[in-house]
Amino acid sequence: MIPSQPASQEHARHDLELVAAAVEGDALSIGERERLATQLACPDCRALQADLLRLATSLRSDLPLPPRPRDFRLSPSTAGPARRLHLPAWLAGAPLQPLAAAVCSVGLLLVLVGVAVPGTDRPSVLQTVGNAISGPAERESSGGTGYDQAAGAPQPSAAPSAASLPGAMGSPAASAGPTAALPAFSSEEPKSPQEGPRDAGGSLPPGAEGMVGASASPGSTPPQAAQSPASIDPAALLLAGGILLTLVGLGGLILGRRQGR
Amino acid sequence: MLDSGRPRDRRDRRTRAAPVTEPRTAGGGPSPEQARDERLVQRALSGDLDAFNELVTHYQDFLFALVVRMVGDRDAAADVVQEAFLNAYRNLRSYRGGAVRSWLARIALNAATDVLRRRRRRPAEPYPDWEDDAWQPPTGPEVDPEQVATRRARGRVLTDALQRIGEDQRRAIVLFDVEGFDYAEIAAITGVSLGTVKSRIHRGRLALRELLQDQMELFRE
Repeated sequence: MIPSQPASQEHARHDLELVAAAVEGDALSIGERERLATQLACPDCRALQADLLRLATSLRSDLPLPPRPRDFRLSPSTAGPARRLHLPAWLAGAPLQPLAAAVCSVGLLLVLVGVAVPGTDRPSVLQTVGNAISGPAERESSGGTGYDQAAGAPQPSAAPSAASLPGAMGSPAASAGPTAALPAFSSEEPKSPQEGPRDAGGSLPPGAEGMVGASASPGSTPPQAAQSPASIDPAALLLAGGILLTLVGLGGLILGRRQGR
Repeated sequence: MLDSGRPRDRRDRRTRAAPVTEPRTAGGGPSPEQARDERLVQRALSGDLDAFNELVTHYQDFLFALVVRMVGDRDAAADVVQEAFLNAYRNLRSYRGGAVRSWLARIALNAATDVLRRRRRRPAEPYPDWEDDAWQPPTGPEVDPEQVATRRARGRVLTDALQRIGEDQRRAIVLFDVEGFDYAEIAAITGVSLGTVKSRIHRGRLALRELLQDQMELFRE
């Protein structure tokens, strides 16, 4: 590495790093000590060792201390934005970016699996995911068949009382009514976002008893009573979970980047 | 025999080599400086900006000297140090105890590495400000002018040569030889093994010697 002045053939083969290590007194194995002893018989190696010592000495004593050009103390205006990102202690010290990258990868994988599941109708899956995000109320508009099934299905909780009333859905005379009245019923649904959970529980919405008793409106019956959990598309779940994880992972990556700065 | 050439005891060398900050205590417990720093960090964590600024006051000279030797450009170094202190303040909660000096050095060196990386992508010639007399240590009238001139010349050629060796080797040499960190501290700061630290120091010195081959007389006086 170092072609010293009259570099002899012998010196060119010497391990100069060994000489450098010896300068610092670093621990050497017995074999290395023997080699070093041999090498130090070489005048070039001895000169090298002496030069390295001089350089080390000069590095710590001759390098001037550069004067700093300004004061680096933080003013409240600069410190304010700096501390705006408050992370909990466990999160601040955590390797956030690798974790976030892992979460993001898992999310993307789930999305891929969700999309690739055979037999999955992608538009409907995406629609389901969209529904899951925007709220389950919209799903009621596609519940026509379940509506009909509900007429013949055993009614949970409040349903029997509703079915026993005149003009209620449970009666054969009324069974044609819901189908005819469905558009009107569907158009009423978005008015009341609170009614969303109805289809999951299958019970009557708040105030339904009064409605049933008064006008026997088709909307008063639990239309999704028969919509079982089995109707939830697993691909949609995978897709929704994947999208959620990906978003969380991306958020973590952004947070980690700000944290690392 | 192997150690016969060493100028002085290693521990003595380490403590002497720290030109800016205080030498570490030989015992196992935290030094008074470390205890002071940890108190300041705790106060800063509770929102006391003055406490953090006290830390800045203690370490700004050290950090600036460290960074300017890495990036070789005072303006860039000043920006890096400011950014490092801001990062330190922002990430105070990630401080896990230990030497604040090492923690700050790690943050500053990371910022300096970013600057060097950007510079590699878009090379630009930095202003050669080590020619500036402001770099030179103040001297009194009692000091031999020839000695002062020699020291200045050594400092100049060393600074120049440091900028021409590899970045990893330069970082190791600056931390070890100039700032007085020991191998373990450098390994913790740079995130590499002890053996790698030693190797970088040895190779860095060999590279310096090769670069300064024609000027070694300056160091033999």
